[in-house]
Order: sequence, then C-alpha cells, then structure tokens
Amino acid sequence: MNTQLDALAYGNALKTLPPGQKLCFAIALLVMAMFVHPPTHLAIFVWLAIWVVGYAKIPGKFYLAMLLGVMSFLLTSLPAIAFDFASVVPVDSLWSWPLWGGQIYLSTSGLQQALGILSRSLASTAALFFIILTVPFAELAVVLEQIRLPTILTEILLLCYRFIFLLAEVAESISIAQQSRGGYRTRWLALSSVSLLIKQLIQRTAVRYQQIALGIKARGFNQEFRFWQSTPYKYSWRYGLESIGGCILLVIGEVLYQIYV
Amino acid sequence: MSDYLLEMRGVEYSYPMADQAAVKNLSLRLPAGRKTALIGQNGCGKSTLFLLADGLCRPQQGEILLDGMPLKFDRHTLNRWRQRVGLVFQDPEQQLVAPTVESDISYGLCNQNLPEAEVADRVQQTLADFQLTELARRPLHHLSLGQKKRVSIAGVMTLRPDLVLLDEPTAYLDPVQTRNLLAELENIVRSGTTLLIATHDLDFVYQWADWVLVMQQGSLLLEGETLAVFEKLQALPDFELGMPLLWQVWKMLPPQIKVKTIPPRSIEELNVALNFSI
Repeated sequence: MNTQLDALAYGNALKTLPPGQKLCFAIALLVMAMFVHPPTHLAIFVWLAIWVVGYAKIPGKFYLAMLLGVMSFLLTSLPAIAFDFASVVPVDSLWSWPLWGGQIYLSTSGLQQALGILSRSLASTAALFFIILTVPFAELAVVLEQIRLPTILTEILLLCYRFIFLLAEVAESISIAQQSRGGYRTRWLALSSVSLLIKQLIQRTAVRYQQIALGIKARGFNQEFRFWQSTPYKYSWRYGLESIGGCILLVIGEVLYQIYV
Repeated sequence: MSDYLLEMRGVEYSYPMADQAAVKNLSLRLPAGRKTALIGQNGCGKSTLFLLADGLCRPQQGEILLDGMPLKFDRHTLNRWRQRVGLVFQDPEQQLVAPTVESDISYGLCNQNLPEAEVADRVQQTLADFQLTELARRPLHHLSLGQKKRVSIAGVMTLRPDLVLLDEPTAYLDPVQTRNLLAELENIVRSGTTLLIATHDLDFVYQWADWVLVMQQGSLLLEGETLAVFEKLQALPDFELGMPLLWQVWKMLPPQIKVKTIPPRSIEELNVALNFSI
C-alpha cells in the first residue's frame, strides 16, 4: 500500500487551505480539460505541476514517478489510435506499409487524435494528482458529506480507506513471514506462497470483520458512522486569486486559439 | 446505590458450537473506585467476562448488574450501559474505526447524539488529557502501536465512563510505552473511574492492583486484596501462572529481615524494607 502518497497528502504545504477550495480548483480544471485544445491542456498540466511541486512542496521525483506510471499505460494504448489498417490509404496519410494485402498507415487525423488524447489525459491526470496529493482522504469525505452525497457512500469510502491499510499490513506481515522461511525461493514456490497468502488474507479478513463488529458495538454504534473533525483551515486570497485568474487566462487563451488557429 | 459497581450473579455463557461453557456459574463483585486486576490462564474466560460485562454477549443464565441495576438487552439500556462501561480491547485496531485521531475520539460522542460544540470541546479536552493534541489530525495508520493504544483508551475515556475494562493493556508495548500507559491509568483512577484490567503480567498486577480476581476454567477461583490473594495463590499447586518476582524475592529473604514489615509492592518498597531491617 502506498502510504507515502497518503503521508504527502497529510503533510503537504497546502494542507491549511480549505479542501473545498482545492477541490473546486481541480474540478474546474478537470472539466476545462474535457473541452479545450492541446495547447491549453499543456498549459493546465504545467500550471498544476507548479502547484503540486512548487506550492504544495511534493517532491518532484515522486510526482514524476507517479506521472510516468500513468503515462506508461497511456503510451501503450496510443499506437492503436494513431495507426490504422485499411485496403486503401487515405489522402492525409503520412506513412504507410503494405501488410497482408492491405496497408498499415499513420494519418494526420489519427496522429492529431492520439496527441489530443495524450494531452487531455496529461491535463486530467495532473488535476487528479493535485487532488490525491493535496487533499487528505478524511477531508475529502467531509466535502463529499457537505455536498450531500448519500451517507452510505461516504461511510463505505471511509471504512474502505481505514481497513485497506489494515489488510495491507496483514498481507505484508504474511509475506515477510513467508520470505523468512524461503517461501519465494523458486518460481513455483512463489506462486504457491502467493496463493497461500491470498487464502490467509481472506480468512483473516473474516476474523478481522468479526472483531471490528464487536469493537464498533462496544463503542455504541448507532446505525450510522458519524465523526467530528476540526476545521483549522484558512482561505488564502493569494492562492484564490491565482486560481481564478489562471482559469480566466486559460479560457482567454483557448478562445484565441479557436479564433486564430 | 450498591457498594459494588459491577456484579455478576451465576452467569453462564457458551459460544455457539463450543464443547464447553466459556463462563460457568460465575459470580463476582467489583468494588467501586478500586484498581482491580483479573488474572487467569489463557482460555479461562477473561475476555468473555469482558464481553459479557459490556453487554456484547448475552448470558444464557444469571444476571449482570451495574450499581444494582440489571442489564437488559434492549437498545436503550445497552446504549446507556456502554456509556457507563467502556471496553478497551487488547488489539487497538479492533476498535479504531475513523480515519484520523480526533475523528476516532469523537466517534463514541457522536453516537450519543451530543451537540457538535460539546463533541468538539470534549474531543479537545481528551486530546489534551492524553497528550494527543499534536497527533489530532494524523491518520490512524501513521501511528505507532503505543500511540494507537493511547487513542483507543482516549476514545473510551472521552465518554466519561464509571468503569473501564482493559484487556491486556500492556501487551506488545515496550517498557517506556508501558510506563507512560501506567501513568495514564493512574490519572484515570484519580478521576474516579474504576478500572478492571485483564492481564497475564503478575508483576504488573502485584505492583498496580489493590483488588484481584482470579479465574480458572470459566469460574471465579479467588477474589480479594492483592496480598491476600497472592498468599492464597501460593498455596495452590495447580495454579500455573507463577508468582510475581518481588513476591518471590521477599519469600526467599531470611525471616529476621521480614519480621517488621509487610511484603513490599515495588522495588523502592523492597529497598526501604531491607534498609529498615538492616
């Protein structure tokens, strides 16, 4: 389990900003990324990188590693969009190669579509990473409650968040115990150890569920998970003005792009 | 009001599909305001006794009383009961449910439908009492085991219960964490709360408790003042938990040293007793 991600979300330099402010900003950029053109996507991506690495003080290497992880998935799917196969090559083809009685080709429209998807994905990913890295999960749940998301959903999210770390700890301890006794010495043993780990994890989850159910009852569970959280946030005019001003500039840039290009 | 905070009268409980009863004809009385320890071998029914005392298991026979009022298994009585009787499990993960320290402490208070301002006040007070203010907004999975134990006790103490049941509170803790925990337990006792601690650590019991309950095979074997109970335990050949180290040292000393003092309950007392005798 990536507890570093979680630790950064709780310890970043923007932690004192109200989570609502950060969420509104990221969601506005996410929505904008759905409708604008690649140059604006790139501007959103660069601007959010400044927010994450510059303002929130998230280590650049960590941010880059996260981006590369997502981009590696994206880049493997792009060739299927950029290249096409047909018996007749279209007029905007940039490159073609005869194959099995047809032509595999790269067209201008295919390339534009692939680049458009790439830039949109970059911008959207940056917006999501901004949320993940600057808004701790517990605060996110509070905002979801404030916008009247059904209680059952926020309860499930909170419990999943709490217990996913517990299960990760159990899985890690089983794995260490297996490694210490040579459980991963050969490929076959490793496979068998992983299956044993999964089986153990399921069994222990059932036991853990019973224990937690007792623990919750002992604390007076009242049919609903309700918590109180302090809100030591401070709205920042400086960041507020930058986010609003930046969004206006992006819209102006996009309009100019549509007029002149 | 009864002199005894908690009473059990002829309580029997068997887990479903179990061959034998976990608790058999158990009768005990817990004096109010005392530091009580519950000892016994593994599987003797200590944890079941705690579950029964908190209304989490329903006895098949007998009755449980708090301040003379019998426990009834309707929702209203159970809610009131669990406000007055707090249970701290051996594994803190079993009872920590919220994402952060402060939200977890607030959980029991929110379950009582208290006004938000009161919840906020009591959470802040509890955080300060347990020196958790610095950790208030930290996620629970970022805490050490000792810190989690403190949070689990704080989450129970914020409800201001009359009786707190602690199952093996010193398990997995290092000496420093144990010492800190004991200091917190002293504060709890000073605040007027009665503590009942289940443990295997006889050295701890000998030094800390002033009333001891001994369980064997689901029944109460002995109850009484600490020194009196250990005196009787020594005479029982089949009691396999052993005896506290201080007690054993004291018993090995020659009679002329022991003649003027009562058995010491701490290293400091032993030191004083030895100096006095010499």
